[in-house]
Amino acid sequence: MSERLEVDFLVIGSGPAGQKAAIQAAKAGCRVALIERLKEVGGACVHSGTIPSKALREKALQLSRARQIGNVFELGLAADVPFAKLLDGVEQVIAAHDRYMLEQLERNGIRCVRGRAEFKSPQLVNVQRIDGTSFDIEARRVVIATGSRPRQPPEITLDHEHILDSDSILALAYLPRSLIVIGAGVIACEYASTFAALGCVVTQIDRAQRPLAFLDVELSTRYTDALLAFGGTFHGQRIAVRATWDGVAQVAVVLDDGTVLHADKVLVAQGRIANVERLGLEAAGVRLTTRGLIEVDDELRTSSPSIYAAGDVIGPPALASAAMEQGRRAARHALGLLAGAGHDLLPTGIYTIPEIATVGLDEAAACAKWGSAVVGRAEFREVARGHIAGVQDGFLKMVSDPEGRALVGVQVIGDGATELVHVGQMGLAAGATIDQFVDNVFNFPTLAEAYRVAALDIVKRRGATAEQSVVARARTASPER
Amino acid sequence: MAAKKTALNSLNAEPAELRERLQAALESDQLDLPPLPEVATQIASSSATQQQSAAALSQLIQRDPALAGHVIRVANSAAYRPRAPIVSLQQAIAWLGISEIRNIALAISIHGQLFVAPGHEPEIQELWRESVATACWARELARLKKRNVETAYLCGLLHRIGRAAAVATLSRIEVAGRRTVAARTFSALADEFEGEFGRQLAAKWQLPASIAEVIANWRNAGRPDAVRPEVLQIYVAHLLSIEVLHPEISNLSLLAEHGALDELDIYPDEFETLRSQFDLVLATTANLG
Repeated sequence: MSERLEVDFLVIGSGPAGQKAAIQAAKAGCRVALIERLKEVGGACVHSGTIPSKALREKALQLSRARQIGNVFELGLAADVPFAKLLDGVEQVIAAHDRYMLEQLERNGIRCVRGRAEFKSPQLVNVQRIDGTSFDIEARRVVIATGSRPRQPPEITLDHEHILDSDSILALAYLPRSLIVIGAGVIACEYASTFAALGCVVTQIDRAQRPLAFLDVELSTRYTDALLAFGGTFHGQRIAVRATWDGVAQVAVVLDDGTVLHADKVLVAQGRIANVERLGLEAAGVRLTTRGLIEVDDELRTSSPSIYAAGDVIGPPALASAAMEQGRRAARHALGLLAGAGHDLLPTGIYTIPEIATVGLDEAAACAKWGSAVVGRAEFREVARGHIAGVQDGFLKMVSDPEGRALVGVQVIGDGATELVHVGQMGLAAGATIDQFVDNVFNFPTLAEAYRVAALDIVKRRGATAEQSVVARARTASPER
Repeated sequence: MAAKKTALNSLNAEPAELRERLQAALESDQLDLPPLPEVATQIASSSATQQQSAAALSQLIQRDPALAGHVIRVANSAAYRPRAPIVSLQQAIAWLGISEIRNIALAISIHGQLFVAPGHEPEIQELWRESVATACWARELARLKKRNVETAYLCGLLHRIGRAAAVATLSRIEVAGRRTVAARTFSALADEFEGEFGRQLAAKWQLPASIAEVIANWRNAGRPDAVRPEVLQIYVAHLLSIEVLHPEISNLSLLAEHGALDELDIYPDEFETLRSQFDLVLATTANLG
């Protein structure tokens, strides 16, 4: 008789979405199993994505700050610095994260299973171990959280030596002198700005007119300005039709207008695709969208009633933070528990240099909704902390309704943006008014003061009447005096 | 009479005495080891890995006419299928690409200068073929797992350099003492000192830490204390090279026994895809080995 395990709740994939789904189900009293293909838990977020790339970015940021402080010196990286040096400490960070996650899973009594999952039916999953043997797991509810991987465009062949993707770029031996980045989404821009800050000559190409096209235009423009300041270039509305190692020393990238660009290395970052192959989704009755993502409803339920999906495998926003929340919600919905509100207010953090964060509506979205909006701005150079910390090229935008009363969104660019945005997020969640940001006192000196400056800007823009002093109002009421 | 004398010397060649001599050589840091060939030094350095121009490489290779000749011979071989006969280095570079030429030049220079042991030519030649095959497999493994391809190749070429040095040193002891060490003793001592000689060579040549670690530890893949993926990668590549070169003694079950594929996250179907490169590796080994 074949080996079989029975559980109440099965999670496939141990990235941020899978972990949270498993923990949520365990906390609800279920017997939970978690299948992971790789030896370590954590998924791409920990091992080839978020954590290593942020460690690299941190080095670039340190170099960039050092240059700013010591602008009388010629600061740069030694030509022969091994790339691994730039990722110093990341292994310890990953190991610590791994340990913490395993302890958490163990504490919650979750059974971790190493192997590849394949549905035999909606409630029966076969697990192939790495040694080729297999066994079955029967589960009442299943959450698919298998994540995504870099998309390989058909026109470009990756050799992972000269033409890389966002995984293999982290295996470089040395920092290249020049890099062409094909793509202008979050991952492309994060790597483009990191390598540019490290001193590499970066050329970014994308079919869109501007990078990070889904963002507020001002944020996107500020990103491009920073790239140019690092010596990089951006080619918008161009398509890379071919990339070939020229057989001599560089990779040649041919654009649709015939332009040929050369660089030591090329990074292809044109989106990610869901890891759905081998899952046997047909046997489970799980449908895919036309983009190859798992189709889910508002409750994260797939076309198969007992199967849910969360994280990158269902598509945008494809952020670790969103994936965690989706995992938790998917498990709660699957178990018939209330999932709570708040998921519309997911903040987006983009770790470019400078970093970018946004929550709620931006100016364009607010205008599309109400026909107009009042926007308040605060440049970091207007707040004392910006001067003290040498963070002067960032700004914060607060977006309010057309009356200038209710806060509807916040966008930030500059150092600390991904932290700073949470003030706005909590304000939005609590239904805070613009006036509350004016009336409350912020620590001095902090970048958070920018909220008050931006709120005051909105107050100024919404019309003088509301802010007139008693004396001024009296004067207005009796003009003859 | 001469034959009798050789046999007598062989009997007198005590393993303990030889071990002491090898140990003394190691401890006094007086190993008579060759320098890393210039081409290899350049290739192992950052400037070569990332920034060396075709012209600079061509110039470097041309300084050694024998090396240049070998590079052109290999570039003309069936494995690379040139459309027209290759008669110059520049042409070879244009056809094969600088990285492939670098790999060929690196292999030839390491072979010519480091794998030399009078009286033990067949063994040293076999060691070399094994190194080339391992380098090829390591390159394919690195592509599969998205690790650094260039470093993997170099690690493969150099992974048995400690044994080559041990064999060369023992060979010198034989020549100096005009004696022949019993084959079993010779082999056991070379095994025993491979790691230590490799460590010393890596230090002397100031190889990057990751390459030095592979040279010193690749044999320890079966030990419970976990070794790094780069080291395991060479261990797997080494066992695959034995499968290519000596299928009769190949034992890929060691991979499962030592958990190497498990550690590297290589599933059976991925391993089979990797093994489909068998003919390519064999052809490259035939050309360079």
